[in-house]
Amino acid sequence: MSVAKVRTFTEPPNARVGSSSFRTGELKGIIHINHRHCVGCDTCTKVCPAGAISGGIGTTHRIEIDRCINCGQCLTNCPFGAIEQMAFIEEVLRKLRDKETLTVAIIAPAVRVAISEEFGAPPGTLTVGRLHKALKEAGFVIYENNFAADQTILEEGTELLGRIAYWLLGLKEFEIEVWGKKIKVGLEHFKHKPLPQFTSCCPGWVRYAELYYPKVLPHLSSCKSPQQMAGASAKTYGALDIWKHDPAKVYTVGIMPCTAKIFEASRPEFCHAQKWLEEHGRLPQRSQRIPDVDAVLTTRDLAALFKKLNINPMRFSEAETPQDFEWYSGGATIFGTSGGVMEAAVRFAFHILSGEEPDALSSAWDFKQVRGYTNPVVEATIQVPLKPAYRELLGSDRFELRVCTVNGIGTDGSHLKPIINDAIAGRSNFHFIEVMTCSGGCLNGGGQPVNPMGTSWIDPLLPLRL
Amino acid sequence: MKKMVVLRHSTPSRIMHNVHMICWIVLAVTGFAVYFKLVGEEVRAAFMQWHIYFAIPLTLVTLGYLVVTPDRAFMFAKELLSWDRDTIAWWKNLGGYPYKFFKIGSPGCPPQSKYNAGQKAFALSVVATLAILIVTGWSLYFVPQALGKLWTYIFFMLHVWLSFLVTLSLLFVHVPLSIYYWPDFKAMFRLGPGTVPLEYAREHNPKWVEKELALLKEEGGSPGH
Repeated sequence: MSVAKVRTFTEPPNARVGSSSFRTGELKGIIHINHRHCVGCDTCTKVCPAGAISGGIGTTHRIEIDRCINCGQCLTNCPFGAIEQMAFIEEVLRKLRDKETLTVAIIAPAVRVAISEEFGAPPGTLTVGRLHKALKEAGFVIYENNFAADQTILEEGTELLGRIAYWLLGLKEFEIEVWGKKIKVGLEHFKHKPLPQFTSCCPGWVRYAELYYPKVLPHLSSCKSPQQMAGASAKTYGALDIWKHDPAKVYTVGIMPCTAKIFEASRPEFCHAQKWLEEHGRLPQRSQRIPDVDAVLTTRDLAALFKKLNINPMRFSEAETPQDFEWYSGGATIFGTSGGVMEAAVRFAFHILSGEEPDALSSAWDFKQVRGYTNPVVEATIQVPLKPAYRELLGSDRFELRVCTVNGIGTDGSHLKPIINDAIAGRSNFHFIEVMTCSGGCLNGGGQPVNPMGTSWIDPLLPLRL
Repeated sequence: MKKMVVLRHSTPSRIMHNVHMICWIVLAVTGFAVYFKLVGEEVRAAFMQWHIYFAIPLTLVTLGYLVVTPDRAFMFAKELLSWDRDTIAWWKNLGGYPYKFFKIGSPGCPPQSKYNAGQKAFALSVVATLAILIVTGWSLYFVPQALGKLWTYIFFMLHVWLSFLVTLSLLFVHVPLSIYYWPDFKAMFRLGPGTVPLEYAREHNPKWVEKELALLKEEGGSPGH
């Protein structure tokens, strides 16, 4: 038995039947403890952010699926390989073999620094061009999730500025300038979207909020995650304008470092491409739901798929010429690390409020004080100089943007609960709060290769942290 | 005339041995029942609690032996680690035990000290296993996160399988032989002093007896009565 080995299973017949905390269509039991292999070491209980695992030391543990947020931290931290994951490798392989189907790979930023581990390279080896080439050899076309992350930050950053303008300045309308284009943002709908704003791209965190803190939901950004933006965009804009392919025969595959993304893709509300296509007469009215993202493969699953196809990404060269949907900013890439979404949002807010142009080569545009690293919670105040139009509004030449990064929800919510309780009670000092379910962010997600020496159990080691 | 006796097991040694024995029995029963899933879930949960509770006296008595009676611990270690020509020679025919019980090999046994070569090897393996079990057990209980997955796995497997092997050898070698040597058994478990008859000791552990008598002569004493 290898400590790094993760067993998978295919979707059981009743996995999408609604019950208890699940709506019809939502996948149940994505993470499962194999009773034959569980030795009752209790590791999983200690890393579970949701308190969803029952069983004492020495006894077989069980996941209460109604409480589980699918983060997979139990799985990557199980020393005995007893925790298994639902996988869709065979389904994706069937689609790849189908000549009529255009299979789109939506690749998350954390995958490119981890997939190489499955092929014997050191952890952290960057494989962008190699990964693209391997995916193309397998038969995918590519929609970089980073491209969608850039879209996300435009939406989420605008929403943050809108909330600030509505709640702190009392404005009903707000004008922002992006790439020389002036956009008026109506603010009335922010009446129901208070500050602080929380990020919404981590599906484990969103499920946690829904299950345990529904009162905080108005604080969550209304933006979909990059995966879901990419899925909807690939089946509409991508299918119609770029690939010129029947949208009904576009099959989107999220390639994610995260097991909670499997659940996110199954959420019934995420069929926006179908709605748009039907409304615009590009798709006949259908009763069968077409999800924006058809399947999700974890980084481990993708490695397994490559191995089935005898493709080793490491044999390709890294150099490449990016194609459509393969362009993105550095702000998108850092979505994969704890505090990265925050840093990208801060860059956006800084750009809009100060009027300064971002400089990719200048460290002045790095806001690393918001990164999580090995700290459970990071707080920072960013001094943003204001351009003249905003100086008048605020009556000040700068704005103190107060932000917080929750680097892992923590065992049984230990990192997050004080932050969330303050937000609900109206005591929070922050404007924007990033929550990553997994310590370290997506890089350390439940779908990543399992490092036998690793642990994401930072709390008990806090005195030792670097 | 009173029978001449010699002290085989000191009181601290007997306390340590007997606490170890009781704890080991409970720890083995509970531990293997849990690992091999020999009982139901609820019993496993209770057994695991007992396992942890009984690990406490096992650890404390081990540490106590080292801290409270370091001279005894030192003598014990010195005895186990003293291997002379006769100790090595014992292994040629395993001290004649195969011949004695199964008529295999050759009879006879080179003169041994307080413990024969087989006892020394076995005691060393038990001491090492005990140390490993204490370290791995408490590490797994208190700081598994500091170990990482691989070391947690290795510690767990060492804990289970070393204890399993030693328990088997205790059951099938140590216990039968200790009962076979009844005076030694009585010295360990009776309520009185941990002595064996001098003649018995002379027969089984001549080098030890010679050494003890030489010491007594130096000190001007005599063997116990």
